[in-house]
Amino acid sequence: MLKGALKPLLSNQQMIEQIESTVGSKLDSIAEYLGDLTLVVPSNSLCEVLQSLRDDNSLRFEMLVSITAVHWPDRKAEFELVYHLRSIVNNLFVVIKTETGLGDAIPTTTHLFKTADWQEREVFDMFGIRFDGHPNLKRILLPEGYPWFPLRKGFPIEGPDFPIDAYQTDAAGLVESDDFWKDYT
Amino acid sequence: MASETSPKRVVQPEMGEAEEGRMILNIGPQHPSTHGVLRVLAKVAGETIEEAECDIGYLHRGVEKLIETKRYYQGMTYTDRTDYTAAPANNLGYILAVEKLLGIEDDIPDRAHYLRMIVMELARIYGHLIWIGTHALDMGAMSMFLYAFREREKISGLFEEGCGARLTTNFFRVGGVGRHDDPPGWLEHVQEFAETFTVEEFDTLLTDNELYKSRTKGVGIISTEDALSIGLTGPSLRGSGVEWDLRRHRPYARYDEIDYKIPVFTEGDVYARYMVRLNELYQSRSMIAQSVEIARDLRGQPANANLADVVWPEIERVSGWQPDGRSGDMEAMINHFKLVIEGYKPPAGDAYFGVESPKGELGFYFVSDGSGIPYRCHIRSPSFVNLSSLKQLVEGGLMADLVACIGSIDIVLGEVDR
Repeated sequence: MLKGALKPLLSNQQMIEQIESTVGSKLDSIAEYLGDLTLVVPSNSLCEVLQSLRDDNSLRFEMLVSITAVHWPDRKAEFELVYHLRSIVNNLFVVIKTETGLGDAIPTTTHLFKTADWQEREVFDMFGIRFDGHPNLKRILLPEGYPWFPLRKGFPIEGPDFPIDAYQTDAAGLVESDDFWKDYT
Repeated sequence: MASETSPKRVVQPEMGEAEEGRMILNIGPQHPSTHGVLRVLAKVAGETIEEAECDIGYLHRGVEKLIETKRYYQGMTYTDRTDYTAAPANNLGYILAVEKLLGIEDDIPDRAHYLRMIVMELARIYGHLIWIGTHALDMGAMSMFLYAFREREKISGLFEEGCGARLTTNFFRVGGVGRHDDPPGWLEHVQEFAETFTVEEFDTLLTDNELYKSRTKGVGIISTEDALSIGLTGPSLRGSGVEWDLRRHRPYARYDEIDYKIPVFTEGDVYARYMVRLNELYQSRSMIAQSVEIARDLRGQPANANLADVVWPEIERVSGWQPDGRSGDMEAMINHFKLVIEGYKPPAGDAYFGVESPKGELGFYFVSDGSGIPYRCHIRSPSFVNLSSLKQLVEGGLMADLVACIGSIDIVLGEVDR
């Protein structure tokens, strides 16, 4: 029988130092909120950062817990992507955020973490964010051919009540153009 | 724009044409051994699965979107309906994430923590029992199902006694456990259950059963590296030799103050995952017994935090609710009205909290914009991530092992599809 908690191997301060020495030059900022570290990275260095954090021996963020996105329609880059990582060996936790605009693509992380396959598909399904290099980017929860991205903020909770064609030309960004779709149908 | 040019309506995912000597087999979505509405497409060569693909989403209800339109206290009711085999586990994940966002974790009284742990561990047994029953049924051991549901019925009764609902419990409240504070005799009934719950019965029925072992040993093996990369959590990860349990590594409630072991098995096959869950039943039983004892000692102490801007006032104090026509407390009524209409408003920011649900790491990610309604709620569901390992588990294996593999990762489609 065992009692008590297992403590993280590094304190947040030590983690910040270690992260800065590993990938410091590629980060926009490091912040601590409610006990969790949040790294903001530009989307073009996302994969490098994730790989360095995974392979660094004193960090070893080997598990990508979740990938999700937040839609901020008023911002210039509308989508904020949030990656939660855990280190099983060192018992650490870190949040990585990056931004992308409407219609822009974000590099896939499927070659680093197998879990990214389904989780990126879910983000694509709900927000319409494209992941460059994803081997099988198609809808996962919603039926294939469903034209809307329901977790975007403009999508009405009671569901769209007008024909698809009306949405095709709308400015709310709920539906992408045919160009967007041609690769995925 | 003409409708011909609108996005192409592909009705169902296809695997293409099968080559000579291959067959594409459709399993589900309506099939008892898929444990819900899961559809699997398998390309088979004889009895061997060469390629498998999951088709999910039949139970998608847009829970995240719905939560984003409700006040924090209203959104919790939806979490009962994700993993409906162990609803209190979802409730706990939800409220702990909200409490983290509000920054009130340290204000929760001990008694609330222990009551939460009791219910959480009951939920773990509740979830594992339905798993052990249906998985054994898939493997042809019919009697297990009856024994498991006999025990499960007792826990349903305890939930009903504790909070009034058997399945969709909505047991806890942000700031404590609300009014579900140990009805008279409830803790004694839980104690009685912990004493009479016979895990040994399941142990003797299945663990050394030659038929069961031959169906599960060496089947659906997943290595430690793959398990980490796929993001497996919970019993599926611990069956692959990784000692990782959020209750121990990232303790919440009072899990750091009671004794328990984390069962770990290294084989990584279906049988190892079964052994992990079976041993967790023993551990949960002992954890309930310990927690009940402490909770009984704490009787008389508050079960809700003393935070007027988060915790609802007792309804008896609120003006207008007194049966004998007394005037009641006007302040309490104003407070109650404000909490119902506006809810509490966490400061702008975001928080992620993961709990060890029976299925694995259940995480809630909230983004607050400072209003009473969450700006974004993401549910990191363990079933969804664990199910993505199915391709890895079954490809190269036999068709008959598919059912064993689906059963062994313990999915609930309500949680997969959300």
